[in-house]
Amino acid sequence: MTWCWQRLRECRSLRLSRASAFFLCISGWGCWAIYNATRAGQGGHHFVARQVAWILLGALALVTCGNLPERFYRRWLPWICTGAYVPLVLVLFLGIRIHGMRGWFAWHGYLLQPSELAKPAFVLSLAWVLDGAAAAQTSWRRGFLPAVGLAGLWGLPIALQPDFGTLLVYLVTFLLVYWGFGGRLRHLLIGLAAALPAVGLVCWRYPYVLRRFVAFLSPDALGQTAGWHIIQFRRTLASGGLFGRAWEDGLWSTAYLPLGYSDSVFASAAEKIGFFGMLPLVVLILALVVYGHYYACRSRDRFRAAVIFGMTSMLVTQAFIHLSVNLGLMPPTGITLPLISYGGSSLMSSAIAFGIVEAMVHASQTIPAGTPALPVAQDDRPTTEVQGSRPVDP
Amino acid sequence: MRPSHSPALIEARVGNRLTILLFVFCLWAGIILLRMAQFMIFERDRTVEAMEREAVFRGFVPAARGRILDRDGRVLAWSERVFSVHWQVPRDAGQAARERALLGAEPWLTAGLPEPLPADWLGVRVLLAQGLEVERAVQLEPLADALRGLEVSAVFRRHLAGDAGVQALLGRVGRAADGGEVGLSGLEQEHDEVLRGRPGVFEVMLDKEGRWLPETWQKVSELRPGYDVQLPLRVRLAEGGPP
Repeated sequence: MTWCWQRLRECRSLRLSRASAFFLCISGWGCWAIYNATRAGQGGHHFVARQVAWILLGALALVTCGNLPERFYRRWLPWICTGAYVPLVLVLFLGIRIHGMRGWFAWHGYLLQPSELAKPAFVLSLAWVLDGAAAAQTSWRRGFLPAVGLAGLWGLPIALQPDFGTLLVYLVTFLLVYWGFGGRLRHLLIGLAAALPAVGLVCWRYPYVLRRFVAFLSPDALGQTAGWHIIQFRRTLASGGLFGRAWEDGLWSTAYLPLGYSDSVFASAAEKIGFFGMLPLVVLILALVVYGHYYACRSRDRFRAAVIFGMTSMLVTQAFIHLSVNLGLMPPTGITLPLISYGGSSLMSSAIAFGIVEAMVHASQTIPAGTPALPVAQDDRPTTEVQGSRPVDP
Repeated sequence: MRPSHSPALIEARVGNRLTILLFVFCLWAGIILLRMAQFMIFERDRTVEAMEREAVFRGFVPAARGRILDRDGRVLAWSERVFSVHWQVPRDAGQAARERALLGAEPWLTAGLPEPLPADWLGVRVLLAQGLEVERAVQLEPLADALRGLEVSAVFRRHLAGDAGVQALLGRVGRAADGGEVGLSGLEQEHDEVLRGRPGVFEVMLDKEGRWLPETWQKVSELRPGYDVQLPLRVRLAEGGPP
């Protein structure tokens, strides 16, 4: 018993804590979902064996990133970003094309997707820019333009692949973190309006994007063509019902649903375990937002707060986009469900994000007492104070 | 008044905004749960009904037609089970080529297939062979297990004994919609109610290529073979008889 307790204490000292437990539980559950979605195919145990290997690597990455000090991320940020950005550009020239998208490096049957691995670096760099521009957050020139320029820099190679699903995750994460950390809504709206011609250009250059939008609006009318995916999602979910058809009996997802182990994993699992089986998953995703919000609001440092909130909101945004696509709330796009869908790059990216959040949370908790926390709402009162001086409570 | 650009106020605003975003996420989760409930609970019956209408195939297992015997028990008319082989050509040309190569294990099956397969054959159900004896059909079993699109189905072939006069008296049979035989003339028609059995009914789910999913096969109703009819007359048979 004492031995067990000592081992547990050692684990705690390695910060193998809530995030790690969350990571292992959810990704383990995901393995089971992948196994059931693929066992009827030709691959057999191929997918699940690879996923287990990625989970082990991911756990290692999580513990490593979680144990690095916060100053490491600050000091090495330019190198981290360069290391993530260079492959993002190189993949445009050296990557392989799958489903019309040049987004993967292939090596002996293993695929690596740089746009997934770059997500944590993007959030770190965004947090750094927002931290640097803290005093001028509402300024168009010194607050908005650097942030939107950074988002554009990361988004451009992803748009050129073109991987619009991943680009959407980057965009939504940027909007949430920028606005959440003091950005002006008016600037965002101007930026979005300015991006409209780009959206038009995308629809013209890639007509399938427009077809998916049209199919999203009227899936039944285009049930045999562009609306086919949406109809199959709906039917797979209906097949699951309240309690599901048991793990081994997911007929509709096996026979009709494409990519039941990655982009359609939510619908595929929902057929097997039903509404009540999937309910805890939605609650867990929501718990991750609450976790991020809790520690971001209690962080005494703007960079840390932005990293914690940015990483968690990025993961939750991706998860909710996946769910929304599977539920026909959004046009179909290839987005994986973090930690659950098959894919090493996605899993590693999520593990690294969890690790960085752990490191930031730990750094927040070890700051000496007495330093004021980031205020939450209550202090947002009008004060009578001369500009430039320290605020005084009335 | 302090202007809204002041750094101190921004920090207070951050907490406020993060809370607003938390509620946005909660709202998004609520919409997701409502949508799940819509598809998985409220609209489920209607959707499942549409799924069954489109993806469930209801088929018949033809029942053997009864024999016609003379008063001494000599068999005048009997049915023999023979087999047809169909191939559901995949819609994907690459998959079709792979399956065709597998079919090559029995060269007599692919003898009539053009090489390469024309584009308008993709997604079509092709008759590869018919009138096969049981022994030949059994040989195809391993191939049918490996190739989901290969269907071996049974039909019946009617044989009549005796000379032309006797055969005219016995009459003719035709193919019914359920795959069984139906009397069209003579004694076959007169005693059709008795001779004709009741076909078995089964349901099976089809995949997106239109192929059966064998694990979904289920019997809806049992087949009943037809009854024999014994005539009150004696027929002298010069040749022929049941095998």
